[in-house]
Parts: sequence; structure tokens; C-alpha cells
Amino acid sequence: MSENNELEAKDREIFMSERREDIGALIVAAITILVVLLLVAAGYPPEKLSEIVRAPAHILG
Amino acid sequence: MAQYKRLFPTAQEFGRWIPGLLACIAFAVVAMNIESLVSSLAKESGGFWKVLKQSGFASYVIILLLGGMLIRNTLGIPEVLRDGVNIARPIIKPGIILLGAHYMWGDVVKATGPAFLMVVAFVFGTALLVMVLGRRFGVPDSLAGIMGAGVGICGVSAIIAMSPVVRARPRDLFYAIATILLFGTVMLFTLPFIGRALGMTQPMFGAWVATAILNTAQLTAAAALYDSWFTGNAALLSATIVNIVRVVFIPIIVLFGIWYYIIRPAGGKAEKVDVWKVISEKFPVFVLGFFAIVLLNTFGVFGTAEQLGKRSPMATLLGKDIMKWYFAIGFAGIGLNIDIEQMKKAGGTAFAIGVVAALFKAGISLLVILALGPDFWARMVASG
Repeated sequence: MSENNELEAKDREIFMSERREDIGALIVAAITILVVLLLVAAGYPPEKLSEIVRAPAHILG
Repeated sequence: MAQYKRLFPTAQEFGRWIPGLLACIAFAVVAMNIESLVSSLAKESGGFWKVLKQSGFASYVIILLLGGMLIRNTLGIPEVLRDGVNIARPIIKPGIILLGAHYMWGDVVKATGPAFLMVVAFVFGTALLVMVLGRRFGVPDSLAGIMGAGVGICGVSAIIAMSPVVRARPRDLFYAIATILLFGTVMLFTLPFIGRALGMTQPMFGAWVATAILNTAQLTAAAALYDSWFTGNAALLSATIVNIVRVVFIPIIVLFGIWYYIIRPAGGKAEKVDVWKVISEKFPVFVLGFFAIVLLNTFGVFGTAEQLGKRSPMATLLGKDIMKWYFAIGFAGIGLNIDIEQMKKAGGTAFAIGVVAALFKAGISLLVILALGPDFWARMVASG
């Protein structure tokens, strides 16, 4: 493989890594919001959900 | 950083991430519990526990970062956990997106003024300084170009974005990334203590740390550590706004690099640059998620606050409680990925120029932030 082709392949790989992280972050955030909105619509108050989310951090104290 | 050939992971890849991710979640739970236990003991008994809490070393951020680094460099990471530990670091990004729930559109407009000031004056200025110094001291363009982008704009992301412009060799990439990460690691553990000694407010510290530290994950960790000594998360909010403005500049610095290294020396005879292609390929798309959340919050999708100046319960759930878990898992990933052996390999003239420029930026930006005073930086923090 020529040096140019090697560089282009490397660049493409790096671009994929960055894009994958960004798109993954968008998907995770969107799923999080959707789940929260569905739970709230199903009657769980956000304050109660906050308590549930905080609970694992306070097992010891 | 892990590198991939496909945009979307396969089921097999997902499977390989699970053990390491679970280990990072477990580590985050342990760290948060140690923090809350020390906090309770400090309230009940005072004495040693109070000193420990005030020292900052019982903060979940420090436990995850220092603890992770210690585990990585003494016990090592078993092969079965490697992929999951690598993928835990970018989990900070969904946390940054959710932080948008703290803001109304008006807050962002108000906050981006000071953020713009910091980015244009220091971040862009430092990038130019490194490129010019690089030429003056005979550092190859391939290395000076990526160091300029890395030291000036946004660490690893900017280095990667600039590398094809200056035809950086893999070795240049390695040096530049190692330098940025080493510098960021040292700053991450020192700037919060300097900020506290100087009596900086949380918004002031956030603005400073987002200018001085060159990597999104590391500056987020430093701001979270600072916030853990106070109430609320004003340092994180302020750091996020400056950082968002900064990463938006990545395509601009790449276009600048094309002009500086290709068009200018060719005297207008260079190939025509497809500006739109550069912007669309280099733009950090996760930033769009942050702005989308700000818009959703502005339109009342997350409910309305009971009091002016407070957040709605759903915005608190998303932008504080859930966000903290994403950050904690990400911090576990950062700590467990700090490899001292790799960092020892940073060096040479590029390292010296990069570190001098980064220290210069940190010092001057500190003076400007202190001179402008706490009231100026208070606007970086959302009101709704």
C-alpha cells in the first residue's frame, strides 16, 4: 500500500472512531430521554425517578 | 483511542464491551458510595473525615481517576475487560448532551459571549502560536500542525481532524496525542487545587479549566472535581459551554491549517478546497445533541420549574442525576485507561513547544478570568 493510501485508510479509521463515539452519544442520550418521558407519561413522578437513580450511590451512607 | 472500520458496531463487538462496561459501572458505584460514606461520617463525626472530605481525595471523581490509574498500572486490566473499559470513556458525551437540560436558549446565548471571548482569544491564538513557533524552531509541519490544533482547540479530536491536512505520520500522531494526554492528566490533578487556593468561583474555574485543559473528558473531570467541593454544578456548566464553543471551532482550525500549510505556501496555486466537505466531516456532531436538548427544555418538553431560577424536576433528573452516572462511568474509563508507560513516550521539541504554549495559555487565561471578576463569569451558569 502506498504511503498516501495508508494515510487515507488511517484517516478514515480515525474519522469512523470519532463519528461512532458522537453518534453513539446521540443515540444513548435520545434513548435516555425517551425512557424518562415514557416513565413520566406512565405516571412515575420525576422526583421519584431521581430518588431511584440516586439510590445506588448511597448504599453505604 | 479505539479505532474502527465500520460506523455501527456489530453484535459481537457489543458482546465484547459488556464485561468491561459492567466493571466500570461497579467501580462507579463503589466510588460514589465511598464519597457519600465519607460525607456522612464528616457530618456525624467531623475530625479526620471532615479533613478527608475537604481535601477532595474522597470525591468520586478523584477515586475513579486516581484509583483507575493505580489499578491500570499495578494490577493491569484483564484482556476480557479491555474493550469495555475503552468504550466507557466516551460515555461522558451523552452526559454532556444531557447537561443541556440545565439551559434555556436565552441562557446559552448569554453564556456564549464570554465563551466566545475565551475561545477566539486563547484557543485560536495558541494554535497559531504553536504553528508559528514550530516553523521557527524547525519542527516538521506534520507535527507542528497537529500540535497547534491539539494544544489550541480540543486535544485529541483536533489532532485527529488536522492530521490529514499536514499528512501527519503515525509517529507524529502518537507524540502529539501522548503530549496532550500527559499534559491534561497533570493539569486535571493540579488546576482544581490551584483554583481553590485562589478562591475562584465555580463559573470562573469552569471557564478557566475549559481553556487550559485540552481534552473534553479531562476538563469535565476537573470541573466535576471542583464542584464536588461546593454545592451545585456551576463549574461543570461553565466548562461545558466554553468547551462546546471550542469544539465547534474544530472545522475552522482545520480550514485554517489548510490555508496555512497548503494554500499560502502554494501562492494560490493549490487545489480548490471543498469547505463544506471539511466542515461536515470534522464537525463534532454530539454538540448538536446538546443544542437539541436546550431547545426541548426551552419549549417546555421537560416541564416547567416551580420557581424562577430553578430547574424543572425532569430537567434535574436528566441534567444532574442521570448525567452524573454517565460521567462517573466515563471517569472510570479515563482512570483505567491512563497508562503511565505510554505517557513516558511523549517528548522532543514538539512536546516542549506544546507544553510551553499550553502553560502560557493557562497562565494568561487565568489572569484574564481573575481580572474580569466573578460577576462577569456568573452569566455562564443557567438560570432556568
